[in-house]
Order: sequence, then structure tokens, then C-alpha cells
Amino acid sequence: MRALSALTLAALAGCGWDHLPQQASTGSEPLWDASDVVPTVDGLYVRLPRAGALALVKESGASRRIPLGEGRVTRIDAAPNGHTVVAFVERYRCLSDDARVELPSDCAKRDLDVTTEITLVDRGEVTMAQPLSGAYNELTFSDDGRIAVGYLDLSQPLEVDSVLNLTGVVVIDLERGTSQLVPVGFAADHVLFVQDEETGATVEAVVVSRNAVAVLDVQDEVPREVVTFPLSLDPDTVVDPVGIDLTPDAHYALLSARGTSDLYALDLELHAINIVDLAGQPGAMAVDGPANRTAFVYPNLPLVQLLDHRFFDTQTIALDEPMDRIALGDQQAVLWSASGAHDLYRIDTRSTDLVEYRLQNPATDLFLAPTKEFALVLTRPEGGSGSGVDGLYDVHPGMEVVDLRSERSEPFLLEGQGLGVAFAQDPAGTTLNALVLQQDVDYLFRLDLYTRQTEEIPLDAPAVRIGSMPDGTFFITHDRALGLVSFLDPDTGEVTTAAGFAAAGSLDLIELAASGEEE
Amino acid sequence: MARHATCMEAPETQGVPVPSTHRSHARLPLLLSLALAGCADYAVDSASRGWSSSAPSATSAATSATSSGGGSTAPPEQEEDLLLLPPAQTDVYVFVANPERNTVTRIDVSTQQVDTTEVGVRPDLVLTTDDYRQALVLNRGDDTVTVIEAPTLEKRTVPVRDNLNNMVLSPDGTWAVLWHDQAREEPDDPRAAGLQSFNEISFVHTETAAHFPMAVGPNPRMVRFTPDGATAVVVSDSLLARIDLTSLPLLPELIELAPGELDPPLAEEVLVAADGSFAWVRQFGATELLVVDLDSGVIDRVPAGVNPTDLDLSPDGRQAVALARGSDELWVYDARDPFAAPEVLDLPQTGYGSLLFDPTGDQAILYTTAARTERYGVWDRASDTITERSLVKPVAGMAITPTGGSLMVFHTLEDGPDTAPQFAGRSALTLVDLADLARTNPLLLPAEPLAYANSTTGELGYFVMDGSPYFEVLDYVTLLHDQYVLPSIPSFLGVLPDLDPGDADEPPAWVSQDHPLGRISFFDPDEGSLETLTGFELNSGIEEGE
Repeated sequence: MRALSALTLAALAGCGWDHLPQQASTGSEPLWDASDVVPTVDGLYVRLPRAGALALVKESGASRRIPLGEGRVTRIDAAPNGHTVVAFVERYRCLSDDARVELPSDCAKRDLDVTTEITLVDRGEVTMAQPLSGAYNELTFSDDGRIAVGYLDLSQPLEVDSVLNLTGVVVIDLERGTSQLVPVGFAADHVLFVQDEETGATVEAVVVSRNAVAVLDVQDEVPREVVTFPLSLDPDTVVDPVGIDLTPDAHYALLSARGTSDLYALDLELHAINIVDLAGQPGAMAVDGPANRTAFVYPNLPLVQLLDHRFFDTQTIALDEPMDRIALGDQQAVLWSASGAHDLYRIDTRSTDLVEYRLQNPATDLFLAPTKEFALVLTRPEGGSGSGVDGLYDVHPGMEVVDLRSERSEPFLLEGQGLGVAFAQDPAGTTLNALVLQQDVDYLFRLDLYTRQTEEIPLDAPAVRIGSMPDGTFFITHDRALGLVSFLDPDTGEVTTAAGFAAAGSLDLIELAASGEEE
Repeated sequence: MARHATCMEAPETQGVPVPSTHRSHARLPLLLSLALAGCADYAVDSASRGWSSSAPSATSAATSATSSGGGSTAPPEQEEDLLLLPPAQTDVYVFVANPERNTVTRIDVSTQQVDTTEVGVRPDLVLTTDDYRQALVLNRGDDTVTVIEAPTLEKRTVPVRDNLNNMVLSPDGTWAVLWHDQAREEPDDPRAAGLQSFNEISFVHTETAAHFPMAVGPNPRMVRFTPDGATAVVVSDSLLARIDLTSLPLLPELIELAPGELDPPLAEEVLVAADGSFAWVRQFGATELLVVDLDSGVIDRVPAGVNPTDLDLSPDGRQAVALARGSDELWVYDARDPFAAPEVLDLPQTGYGSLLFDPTGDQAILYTTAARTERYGVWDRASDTITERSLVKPVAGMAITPTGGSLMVFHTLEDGPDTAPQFAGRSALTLVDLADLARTNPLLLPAEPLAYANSTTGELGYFVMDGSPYFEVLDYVTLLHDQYVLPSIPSFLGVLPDLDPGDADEPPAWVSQDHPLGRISFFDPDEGSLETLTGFELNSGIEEGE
């Protein structure tokens, strides 16, 4: 667990079970991708799409290319250990004997052979490279960073570069540097990991696919199927999972499916299945470990349900408006909507005490402070035609500070649409700063949530993304073609920048791999 | 969580002790087996599931009984307790049939883990052998029996004769006997295809799965075994079949019950003596009981009043009691000496046709299901007095709770001449304190009772209703009830075995429910909590890794 005194990036914590990160599109080949960066202890890894390369940008402002060989880096992911980056690299070979062919673009399409390699980069050095179908376009990492499972995200365009097993996932042992294709079921698209209760080591992977859930033992070099749970006995019935989570003791996997109110509770120890009737198809769920309950909200039903993990009883609490998002706080869940509702609720997951807040404008995002005392809500303009203060709110993006210790909330108007929020707290705990990034605005808005003191921290350019480095320093990427990243020391307020690191990519073309290089 | 259903006061009437007259008749040395006397463990006696079966009014029944000289124009009593399902459980597992899904569910009692396995079409009845090793399933949809090994769920399927709907096991669990029982016919039973016989039964050897079909007589009514399990006795309308189970192939030896009579009274009930040497047979509309020597086939007769409609053993097994509905008499025989002169007690002229002993044997309940009579009688055996009490509605069936403390009266949907207005046209159940007959609790029900079960201590009862998503808990001591809402419509009900009788905990009750993937709820009476498992049919599709 991260200490409260450390900086916390709330933006990452908001990813619920049903809001899995989506693979970035390579798009129109810019020099760099300001939204697709990976912070590590060694610096910020940045993808350079036009050069097909990967760069490491240091907080000092220095930068360098990572030697991955010829080819194109199509995506990068951060391993949970804080220092490893997983890069998917496409290698190109031209099967033509024409000596004039030097670039992939010179090669006839029928002669162009494309293979994909998964490459681990640790502390700036390549530590492992293995062939992997490029179709496995989604990766999920275990908490200890030892295992990654690659699978097909069918919501994205697939790059079918080889015969593809649609029932398989690739289990990558990042420590051993091995990978293994394991058949688990058709269209696997969610992966969870089970940790050993005492050691915390990853022992099993729970892979969810259409109509089935497979549990794999990933302790040994060769992953082994432990059990496969069917979700239907009728071949004509398709059960399409949309969300899954584990109970705190990892005894049960809770799984909801598209178009049904059934919640599947898979007993991972006794290998049995139970189905719980929910009020409808949930829009979001959140497992509250200390309360040993799971909260569900429904996009079309104004209620929240709390599921007891012992008897699988549900307790239903009525709301005024339907909610579709949940953020878990300290023995409380914050229920909110990204679908236009103005209500926001705080519910005590044990006592079910409910507090209703009313937002001025509909929320677009919500960030919980690391202390769980506040929720910071970014809102969007409603486009209404009201007058006075209501009219002002209607036409401006905003931000609301919701005090989760009371029933108060405090609205702010923003100059630009809020893009992201990060929090910083001093070691003594006397300040709790929210750093707010706004679209097309060249300053960072800092708000002390305790004292309400504010400050505008100037930036060299409007920002695209804010995040935190493992040491607590904030990084802010900017929309500058040649590359621009700001690093903010939250203690001193000092900002350093790294610029121009993408310029080399404008001259560096993606070339064919040398013979044997891809092996 | 618990909610209370409508509870209405019963109309109070004063009990009227009626002194009985004693007479003596002659002979018969018999010792009957209590263990073979039906559902003795539960001390129950009740009516069929079809509560709406037409019954004449009390007045007309009494009139016809008198005019017929034997009361035989009134229908027979409905004695079999079809609401209390036979327990299909071992020391480790409980088995539940899922007729709609062609599966049987196995519940591990200690973990409540649920597994299912496919059986034949429309499994209807599950029994387990006394050695806990096997469960036998009668599949009415394809006329087969599935023999399941309890620990492994390994199965063998045995085709049996067509259109059989009842099954019993021999005491040692070696034989399953199946026959067509008219009392178990349901309105929605599928019509039999092709030829149909009403004389056939099937014997299935549970170890070898060998099948021995045979014809035994028209409309088999009841199957009994000698205590050693060596002989089976099947009574049908006019024949008694004796089958030696130690000699293969099995062949019936038929004994004509009324030789030479063109239109004999129909046999309804058979009891086998404890030593297995003879059987008592009760015929509807007769004036005597038959005593059949099972070795020689010789038939003797003993007087039994006019139209004996029930024949029961006292709980201590020392007396056999016939209730003569036509002459309103109780005939009490010495079970060890059936030819000794019986005692005869005169009863009120109510037309009682069914008798139900409490577990202690201190008293017995008199009632009738053949007429719409809103009253019952209590026979105090020490004083031989009969105390009558009124009820809110006519009786469909009765059960005495396992402790003998309370009486549960299931009422007909049809009203009688003295039906309480609040209960007219409605389903009802009445709880009666047998120590204080004035203390009753008639309950108006939203639907017809479907099944009930008693807790291990006998202090609680559970029941569910047809098409109604409620699970009812009856406190037999306070006569109060609690109601729990089930997730779906109930099918079957039972109580798990008590794995630790030494502790003070009641084992959970279970109720299976309609759900395409299987649903069962467990009720913990100690915590008052209801836990539901759904989708366990999927468990059969779980694939374990190598």
C-alpha cells in the first residue's frame, strides 16, 4: 500500500472492473503520443509512433532512445513493479529478392512478412524478447508483476499476423522470460489474478471468456488449467461477461454478464457455481474488502444493492437517480453517474447510511483523494439557458469538491474542461493538494482541500495528461509535436521540462528487420 | 426479514367428552411391526395432494353411511401423507429430484455443496438405501429407474414397466418395488401410450440392476415387507401377492382374498406381522378384517364393525386399531393375539374414518377426509373418552408433530356446512395444542400447501405452498409462524440430517425451487437466515484440470 504521505495518482485508481483500459490507437503517426506514456523509477517511457521507437525521458530533462531493433513499437504497458515496461514490437521482413527494397513501404504487400515480438524493458535495457501474435492486443499484469496475460480485445481492430487461436490466451512469465499459449475458451477478455494469502505471490489467473471462466495455475513454468466453469449448459445461449472481480479472500469470483441480472458467484475453492439475482444488469460494481460486501449500481434503476459475501443476500437501498459508477472510499462507496445525472451519493457499506449530494452540472469524472476525505468531481457544461448563477454553471465546465466527512459540496467553475486530477499531501498531513489539469489551459490549478488555498502553476503549453512518477513527482505531457513533458515537484512547486525528445523520430524511418533479427 | 402472514382466530367450541361403550369380540394372535406401519417416524396421517377432491358433506356422508348399512358409498379415506415427502438422504448427502430438468441434485450436508447429475426423463421420486450408499430415482417420463452411487454419482439406468408412479425400498435396501399407485396420480400426468396394464409391478435389484416385472392383481395398493426383508407382500384390489425375495427369478404367489365372490370389497391396506407369518388386510366397505397366513395362504376373518376405513398400530406396537366408519366404532385388537376378543368403543355419530396416534400413544386423533366435516375427535386412551372439537374448515389431512405436542390440520379448499366465513373458499391450515385443545391457530393461506417437513427436534415445522414463493416456519410450541420470501416457486422441501445431535443446533431445512439452472434455499433455524444457491446445474459442466 502506498503511504498517505506519498503522492497518489487518483486517475489510475478510478479504473473499475468495467472500465478496463483500452488499447491506444496508433492513429496518424505523430512523432510522439502524449497520452501513451509509462512512468517508471527510471523516467517516463514515451512511444514515438513515426519512428516506431521507444524513448526514455528523465526527470532531469535528458532523454534517450531504447535500442529495440528495427521495427515498430505498437503499444507499451507498465508492469506493476514500477520499473518494467512491456513493448509490443512489430518486425517487418520482405520476402522479395529485390535488393532495392529497404523499407517496409518499398515491399509489395504480398511479400511483406509481419511478426510481433513482446519485449521487456527494465531500467532502460531489453531483458526479454519473445515472438507473440500481434493480435493479442491486451495485457493484464499480476499485482506482483511476475505474470502478464495477453488476450484478444475484440473491441479493437485485430492485427491477424498468423494463424490465431481465438480460444487461447498467452501467459507470460516476466521473471522466467517465457510465454505459453493456453486454451481457455472463446474470446477471453477479462483476467484476474489470485495471490497467495501469506506470501502475496501470484498463484492463479482467472480468465473470463464467453460462456466459460478458466482458472490457471501460473506458479510453474508451464501454466496448468485448474478448473473451467461453464456459464451456460445450452450451446445456443451466449453468456457474455462484462465484469468480474474477486471477493477479498479470493474465495469467489463475482461475474456479471451482458443483458442479464444474473451475477455468477464462482467458488474458486470448492469449484461450484451460484447465481445471485440482482435487480438488473449492473452498470458498475465494487468489492469492499473490509465490509466483505460488494456494491452494485444500475444505469436504469435508481437503487444501490449491497451483496453479502457470506450468504449472498442482497440489501437494496433506493436512490433518487440511477448511478453507473462506484468509487470505494474508507468503509463507504461513492456512487456517481457519468450519464447526465446530478446526484452523487455516499453510502456506508456496513450501516447502509446514505448521504445525497447534488452536483451543479453532470459529472465526467471523479477522483477520490488518497485520504478518502474528499471526492473531486469534474463536470461538463450542460448547455442550458438559465440565468444568474445557474446559467453560469450551465455554460462552463466545472469541478466540485465533495466533502465525504460531511454533507457539503463546493462547486468551482473551470476555465477549460477538466482533463485529470492528481493529489499530493505533505508528510505531516497538514495539506492535501488537488492538482487539476484543464483542456487548452497552460497552467495547473492547485487547490488545498483543507485550507481552500489556491494557486495557478504555469505550464509551458496546454497539457494532455497528468500522472505521477514512482517517486511522487508529477509528470504532465503537453501537446507539442516535438515532445514536451513537465515534471512538477509537489513539495517545492518547482517545474522542470524535457523537450524535443521526439524530434529525432522525424528523420528516423521504420526499416526492415535484418535477417534473423526477429528471431 | 421475516414477515407474518394473516392469522385468524378460530371459532371456539367447547370440547364434549363422550363416554365410550366397551364390548368384546373374539380372537386373533398377532404382533405387528411398527416399523412397517408407514411413516411412523413422523406420526403423520394426512390426505393427498389433491385438496379439491370432491367429498360429500357431513350430513350426506352420514346419511349414506346409514342407508348403505356400511357407509361404503362414501369415498375411502385419504390416508397417505403425500405432503410429507420421504427423506432421500444419507448421512452425508441429500438427494432432490428436479423433474423439469431431468436431473437429480446431491447436497453435501456438511458443506452444503450442491452437485447435479442427469437421470431419466421427469424424475419424480428419490429414495436412498439405509446403508447410505445408493439413491434410486424413479423417472416417470421414460419409465426407468436410475441407481446412483451416492459418493461418486455413478449411475445405472434400469427400464421398468410402463406407467409406474410409486416406489419403495425393502428394509435392507436390496430391492426397489415400483407400481402404479392411484393415490399418486396427478391431473397433469401424461396419458400412457399404447397398451396399459393396471396389474403390473417391477422389482429392481439395487446391486445388480436386474429387473423382475410381474403381474400381481388389479390396482396394487400397498407394498409391505417382512422385517427380515425376505418376503414382499403386495395387496391389490382382490389379491395378495407374496414374493420370495431370496429366490431368483422373482415370482409372485397370488392369494385370492375373496375366493368365489363375484364383486368382493376392494382391499385397501395391508399390515405384516412382526414375525412375518401373516398379514392383516383391510377391505373397503367390509365388516371384517382378513388375516392371511403368509406360509399357507389360509385366510381367516375377524369382525371389524361396519366399513373399517383405517387400520393402525399403536405406537408401542401392542394394539391394532380399526376404525369402523359405518358403525362409528373403534375396534381395538391385541396385536400379539389377533384372535383374542377385541375391545369396541362407540364413537360420536360424526362419521370419523381416519385415526392418527400421537407418538406417545396416550391419545389419538379421529377425523375424516371423506366428508366435509369441520370437526375432529381426540381419543384419550387412559379414560377411553372422546373429546370433539370444531375446526374452521373440513379436513384434507392431519399430522401430529414429532413431539406429540401439537396437531397440524390441513384443510380442504372446499367449504363445509360450518366453515368459518373468513376461511370460505380459501386455503387454510390450523395448528392445535394437543395439551390444551382450546389453544389453536388457524392460518389463512395464500395457496394450497405443497409439502411440509419437521425439524429434527420436532419443535418446528416448515411448509411451502403451490405456486407461492413463501417459505413458512411453524413453531409447534407457540403455534406462531414466520414467513420468508423465496426467490422463486418452491418444488420440494426437506430437512438436512443432524450431523451433531449433541449440539443444540437445529440442522437447516432446504427447499428446492423452479429455476432453469437449479435453485435451492437453505434455512438456518438457529439464525433465522435463508441462503439460496442458484445455477448448480452448471456444476455438472465444470471441468477439472488434469
